[in-house]
Amino acid sequence: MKRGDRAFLGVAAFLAAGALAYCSVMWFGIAVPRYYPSAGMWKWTMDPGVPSQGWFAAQAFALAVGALAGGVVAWASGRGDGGALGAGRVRAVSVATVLVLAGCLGYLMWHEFVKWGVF
Amino acid sequence: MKPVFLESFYPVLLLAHLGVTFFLVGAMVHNFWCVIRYVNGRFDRCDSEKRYAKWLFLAYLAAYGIGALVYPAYKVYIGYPGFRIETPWAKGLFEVKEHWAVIGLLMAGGYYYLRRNFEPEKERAKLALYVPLCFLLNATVWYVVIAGCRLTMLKGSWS
Repeated sequence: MKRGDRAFLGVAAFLAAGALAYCSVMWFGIAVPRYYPSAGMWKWTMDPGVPSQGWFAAQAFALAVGALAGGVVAWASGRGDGGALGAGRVRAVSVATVLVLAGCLGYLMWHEFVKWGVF
Repeated sequence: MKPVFLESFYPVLLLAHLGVTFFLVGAMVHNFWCVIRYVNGRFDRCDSEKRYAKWLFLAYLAAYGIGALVYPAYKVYIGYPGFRIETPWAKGLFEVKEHWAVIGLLMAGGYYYLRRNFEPEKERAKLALYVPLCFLLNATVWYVVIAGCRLTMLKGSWS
């Protein structure tokens, strides 16, 4: 497969896997290190009543999972027969990727707006 | 209490965050209008569009990085004591802003890398990802910018 097609598949995998990994921290309650800015330290636990930030580790997790998935897909797609990626497959991958991204964005908005009484 | 990371630089960093965001919006809107031309079958501004995609990504990285530096002091002095209890709807706006900013970072990186590796006029099938990604990225950044401005108008500093 040519370089551009491998990059296309890699980007699609990076986007979908990264967005799903970020949401999965909420869905599955994955424990990530939290930064306690008033104490200037990191902990794995969440202390109630003290401001802490899991956002830094959650984004690192999402970027790492996305990069890993994108890299693996781009590498694996380069091991085939060298044929071009067909237009039908390009469209199918595009639609799936956009649906995952839109779904994750929608879920994150819905989750926080319901939680904090915006809706 | 120990001083929070970079709290004495908070006003400067917040202004820098805003300034870089102006640059980001400029690059993004210019890129958007070029991508709209692709939808209409016009490929006369490919070079400019590629350049705007690059600046969009670099500006996003800068705005995101500065925002991450501002965040600890913001959390301790504004987000946690104020928004969480007094105006929970503002806390909701902020949380979505932070989540969407992460997804936006993924999209900005993927968008630029994809653009570096395809020619819109020759590989039109790939516009099926590139064009919706452009729209999603615009929607995400506009939400982040508008929510950020609204929250700063509500409470931008603690002194």
